[in-house]
Amino acid sequence: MYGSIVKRALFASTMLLGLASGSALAQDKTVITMWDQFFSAAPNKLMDEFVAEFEAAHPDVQIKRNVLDTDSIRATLPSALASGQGPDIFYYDAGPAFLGPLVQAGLVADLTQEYAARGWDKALVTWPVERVTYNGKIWGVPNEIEYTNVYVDLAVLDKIGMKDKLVPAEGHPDLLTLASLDDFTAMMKAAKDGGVIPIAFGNRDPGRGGHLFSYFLTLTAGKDFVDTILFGDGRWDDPKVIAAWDLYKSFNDAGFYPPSPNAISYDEGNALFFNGGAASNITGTWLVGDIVDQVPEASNFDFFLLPSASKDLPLSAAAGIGSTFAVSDKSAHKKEALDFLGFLMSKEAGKRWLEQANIVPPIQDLDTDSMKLSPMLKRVVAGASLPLSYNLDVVMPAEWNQAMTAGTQSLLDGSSTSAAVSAAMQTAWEKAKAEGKIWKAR
Amino acid sequence: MAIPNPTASRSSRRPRFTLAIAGKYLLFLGPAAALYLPFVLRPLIETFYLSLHQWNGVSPDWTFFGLDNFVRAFSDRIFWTALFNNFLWVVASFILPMGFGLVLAVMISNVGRGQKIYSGIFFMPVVLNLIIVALVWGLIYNPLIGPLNRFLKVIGLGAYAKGWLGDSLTATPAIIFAGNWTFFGFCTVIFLQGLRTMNVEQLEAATLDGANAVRKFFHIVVPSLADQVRLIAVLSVIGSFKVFDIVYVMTKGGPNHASEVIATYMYWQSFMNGSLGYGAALAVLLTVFVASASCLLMMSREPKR
Amino acid sequence: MMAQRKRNTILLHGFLIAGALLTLFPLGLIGLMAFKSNPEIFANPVGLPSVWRFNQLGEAWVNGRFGQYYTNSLLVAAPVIALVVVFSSLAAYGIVFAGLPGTTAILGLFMIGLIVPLQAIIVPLFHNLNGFGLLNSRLGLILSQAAIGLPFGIFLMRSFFLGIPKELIEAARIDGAGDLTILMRVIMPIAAAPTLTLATLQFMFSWNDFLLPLIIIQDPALRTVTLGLFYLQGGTYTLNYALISAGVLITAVPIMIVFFALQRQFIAGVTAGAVK
Repeated sequence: MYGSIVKRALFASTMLLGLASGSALAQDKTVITMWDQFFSAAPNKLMDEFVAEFEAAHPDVQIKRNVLDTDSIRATLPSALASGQGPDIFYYDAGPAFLGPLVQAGLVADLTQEYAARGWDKALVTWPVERVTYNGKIWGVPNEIEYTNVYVDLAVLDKIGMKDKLVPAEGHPDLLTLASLDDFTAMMKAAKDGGVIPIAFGNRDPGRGGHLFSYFLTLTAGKDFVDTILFGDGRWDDPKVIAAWDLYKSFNDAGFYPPSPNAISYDEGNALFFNGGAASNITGTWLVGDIVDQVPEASNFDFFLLPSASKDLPLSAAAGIGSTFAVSDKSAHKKEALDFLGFLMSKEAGKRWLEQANIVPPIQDLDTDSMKLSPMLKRVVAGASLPLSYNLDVVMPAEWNQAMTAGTQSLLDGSSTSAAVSAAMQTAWEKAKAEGKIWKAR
Repeated sequence: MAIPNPTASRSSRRPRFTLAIAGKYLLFLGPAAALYLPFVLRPLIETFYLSLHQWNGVSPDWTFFGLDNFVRAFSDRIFWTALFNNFLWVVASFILPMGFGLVLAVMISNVGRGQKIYSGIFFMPVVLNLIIVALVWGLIYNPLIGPLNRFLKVIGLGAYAKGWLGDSLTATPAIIFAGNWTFFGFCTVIFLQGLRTMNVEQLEAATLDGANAVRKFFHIVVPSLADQVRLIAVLSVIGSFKVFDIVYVMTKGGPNHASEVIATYMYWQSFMNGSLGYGAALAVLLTVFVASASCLLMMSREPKR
Repeated sequence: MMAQRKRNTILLHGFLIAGALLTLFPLGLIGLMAFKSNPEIFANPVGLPSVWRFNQLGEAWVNGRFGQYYTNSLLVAAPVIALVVVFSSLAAYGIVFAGLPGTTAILGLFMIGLIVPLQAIIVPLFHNLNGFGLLNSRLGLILSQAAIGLPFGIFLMRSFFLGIPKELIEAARIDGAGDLTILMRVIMPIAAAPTLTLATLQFMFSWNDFLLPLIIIQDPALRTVTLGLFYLQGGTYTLNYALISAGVLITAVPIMIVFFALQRQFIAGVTAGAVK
């Protein structure tokens, strides 16, 4: 009783405030709210342009953006959706740990029919769509292909005499790589001997070490092996997984990471690298946009892909779609929301994602040769067609992610071992599997 | 619950409940209640209710869980780490600021000129935002650019240089030290106030008897500051259990939950891990600790009034 | 004897000056960093800048959006102070002077808020605000902060009102003054000191509050100074120590100036607020 009076009073006062602030919304317009994470300058500007253009083409629709950072959206979106106060469109991390619980709670619109009706099934690249597919149904619209890579400071490489080690990849002239993993070790050792921190790795924020682990597992075991775990009877305590952890740990033991990576945030690691304090930075292609836009003397920096540990494995990297667009199942304006998403995934929009925001959209048959792309982005585009593996945190359930995150930190301060971490991941995996919380695209 | 100085005699002439009285309630207590009930009391009751349930924050139904959330806490290794860290906070913020504060207060009270300036400087960190404190000290401890490690290297203790906030052993002590930077000035001022009302004759008599400074300090100064010591002790306990901001900003409870305190762990379980029932149980435990300490404070103040 | 006393005094000053410098060192360090370039900070965090980059302060103010954050913090703090002062005075009057029955119980209900830690209500509060449609709005933050500030406000005002001679109220009543008139014309004019203390404390609470803005405010355009400072260390992919330091400097210095100007009120306020 009391609550409802308060609610009404609050409602009335918010209405008054709304009127007072003069937001004269024309009543006949359909208002779509969107919560997104395009807070970096260039993508933010591009998204504003997309919204303005869509509104111009659809005078009866208005789109209201709310730009959030990752932590904020993770903390608030679930309850906002659950209470019915949430946005029509949201841009959220894919995977069973993030989008999964929302799907299970019936808060996300099933887009399977729309994919067929709107031709998205043919217009978009298959594997990114699989990342937003659970139990045979499609729940989102991916907008970005991203994968792990190694950035290098060319001036530092030159100084330590290692610049020549970078070679074009076989069959992919636009991509750089090394002749072998041993070359990477030699390069890092030379950096260390030259008084430079070899890898600007910051592992304070949970999950960052997971990118390295995902990458190393791709190099040592390959995508097919990971598939046997994700979709078959493979196990996380397999010796191949332990070997990937050993590689991760060996770089720490060899002094390739900064002192105490657990005390350094991801952003600090990047800052160290961009200020000339490190030879390399193992992270992902999502950083290209910020390098091009924000880093002075961006031409000092380039990236390459690590070669696989064995000749049998192809050149690859750990890939994902980062976040995905999705539509609230409670939205009253699904059609308009989907029209907007279709507009964002058109070929014309695809060109602008690339040119203006340095983002590689999962759109088929884009004619990238005719576009004006920065040299670094050209490399990203070239790598997108490789047989890429998994960036694990966005395809794995929450419990497993916690086990992996704990592993990335405890291996560095010596409080755990590769075998123990792998065993913990297997335990978490079995539990999630039993509870039906795992990603099943097929 | 102990309320200082209850107004017992006031309600002796019991007026009848009339429209006028209802109007007075509405006029005087209505506004405060309209804010307090929905924004403080209702959430508090809901926290207790939620602590008996399992809820992921998304699904429409709450599963009744009985006391299982509390049982889970007591078998949760991270909960014990967090509780242990809270106790570290209690002990450290009792000893460090108390010691520094007392010594500084005695020095300031004997220095003659500049008392106001000194106490102002020492007190100043108290008014600073804890986020500022966290950022500043985060830079001091920083393994890449932090002056602390450079200083250690200069004085030949380079072997001890480390990422203070990234090491499970040193993270909590490092945060505690930063946190107490904002507390010792407060203690100094409290002690200064106590020293001003101290029995001067007793001190002079002792001086005439030829007692040395150390003797005077322990036999006359310290006992006469018992009230202040009690106040600071209880404040340390309450503050140490409530601590959140500085830990959250400096380490988010990491590495690997090593610097977690109850409040940050509760936040993580509730907002990041989708275990809102368990988070509520942690909040209830926290409330019990803080409320007991607060009651202690109120009782310890009672005789003075 | 005199000589020894003088030597002792000098020694004391020496110790105290050393202590003061150590206390101020962290802030001085940040102060220097605010004027250095990032490569300089990496090369030598403690040294003096080669060139004093005063423009970095302006950059933090504009690009770091601290101008906007200041406005937001003020737009939140001012109504919070007003709400708490007015509502607490009304409630304290109702409890002490209005001759209402059952006020002891009501006071007890409010005093619960004094001993409950903010963290204990944060999750349901968040969900209630969401239900009211007040999430991600200044109004939601204002109402929450005011509600949480009320118990202490009532406690403080009530303690002061209890010390006012009852004859004063009775005299006004005989003159025909109503309750509201008594509160505004008789009591508030002599309650300037506790009102000022309460306002100072509420200002500090609102200005320094981190947890409530952290969960209530998601829109970067609505961030308060505290929240803006927090997000300085993340959110963009290239961390900028110079910008962080400049941000800290322009948020710390005004507070420090106000503090040294109003030192007595601040210290009185904080020590009075120690029960909170």
